[in-house]
Amino acid sequence: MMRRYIRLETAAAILGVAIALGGCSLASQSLNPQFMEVLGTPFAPIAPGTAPFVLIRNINMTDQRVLFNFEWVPAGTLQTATFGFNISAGLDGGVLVSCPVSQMALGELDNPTTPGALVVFDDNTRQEIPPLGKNLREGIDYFCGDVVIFAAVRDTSTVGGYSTIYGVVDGSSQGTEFAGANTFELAEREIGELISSGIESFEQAFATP
Amino acid sequence: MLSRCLRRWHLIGLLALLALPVACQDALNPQFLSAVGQSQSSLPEPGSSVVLLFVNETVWTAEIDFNIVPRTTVPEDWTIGMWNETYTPVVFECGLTQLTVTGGTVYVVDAGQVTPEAVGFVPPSPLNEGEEFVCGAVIKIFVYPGVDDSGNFRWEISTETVLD
Repeated sequence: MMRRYIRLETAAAILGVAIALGGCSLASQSLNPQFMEVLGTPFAPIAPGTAPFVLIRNINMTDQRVLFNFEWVPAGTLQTATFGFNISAGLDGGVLVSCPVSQMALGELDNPTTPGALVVFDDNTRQEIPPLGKNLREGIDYFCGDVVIFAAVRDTSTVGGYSTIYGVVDGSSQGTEFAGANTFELAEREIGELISSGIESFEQAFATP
Repeated sequence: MLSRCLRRWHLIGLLALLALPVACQDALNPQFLSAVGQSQSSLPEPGSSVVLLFVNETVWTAEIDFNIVPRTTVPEDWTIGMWNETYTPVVFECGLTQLTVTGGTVYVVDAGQVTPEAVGFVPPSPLNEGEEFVCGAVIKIFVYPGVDDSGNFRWEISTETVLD
C-alpha cells in the first residue's frame, strides 16, 4: 500500500515537472481540449486576426431575453454608429466592423453611464442592467483584429441581479493557419467584391456628411 | 542522501503540479485580456464563427427575416434591417444546425409615401450544417429586384455559401 502511494507520488511528481517543463501544453490537453485546437491547427479562426475588422459580439449568459445596444466610431468618420441585438437566453450575436475603430461602448459613447443592455422578462417588463461605465479605446483596450465581447450575466451581487461584463479576444495570438475555412479573410474578400460593385458597408450609413 | 534527493524531487514535482492551474491560467485563456465586473472565467471559451453577410442590392431600405436553429437552444426568428445598397456582416458562433430565410420586406418610397412590399421569392429549402454550410463559412444573403417565370417584377432573396 505504502509502495503504491510512493509510486503514485512519483508519477505525480514526474507529471508535474514534465508539465512545468513542457510549457503547460500537456495540461492544456487534459484540462481544456478546446484550447488544444488553438495550440494546434484550429479548424477556423476565433477572431478576425489579420483581416481588417473588429468583431463586436454580444453574449446573453442570463436566463432571460436581453436587448443589447452598442456604439462605435466607424473608420474614417467622426460619427457614431449604433447597432443592437435582441438575444434570447444562451445565444450570441455579433457584427463585423471595419478598422480602424477608434472607440466603442456598450450603450452610448457620449454617456458611458447609460445602460447598454436590458433584460426582457416573459411578461415583457424590462429591467436595465448596470452599465460598464467606460468606453473602450483602440490601442488601449483592443486592437484591430480582436473580438470585443459584451456579455450579460446573472450577478447576485447587484440589486437587479444582472450585470454586464466585457472581454477581449486577442486576434494576434491565434495564428494564421486553419484546417477549415479562414472565415474572416473570406469575409474580407467577399466584402471587397461587394464594395467594388457599389455596395457600401452598413457603417457608411452613419457617416452622413 | 539519495532519499533526501528523491524527497526534494517529489516536492518540486508536486509543487509544480499544484501550481499548474495558476501557472497555466493564462495559457488556457490567453485571449481574454480584460474583463470588468466579474472574474474572467465568467466569459465562455471563445469559438469559431459563421458569418451571415446580408446584402441589400435594392435602392430602398429592406429587412430580411430568418430563422436559426442553434444546437443548444430553441429555434429563434431574427430580422435584420438594412440601408439601401449596403451590406451588413452578422456573426454567430458556430453551433447553428440550420438557417432558413423566411421572408423579407422592401420599403419602397413613392411621393413621400413608404410602402412595405413583401419579398416574392425566398429560397425554398433551409441551409443545413454539414450540407449547405459548415463552421467557418460565410453565407451571403442577397435581396434584389427580380422577375418571376411570367416576367412579372418581384423582390427576391437568394443565398450563397462561401467556403474558400
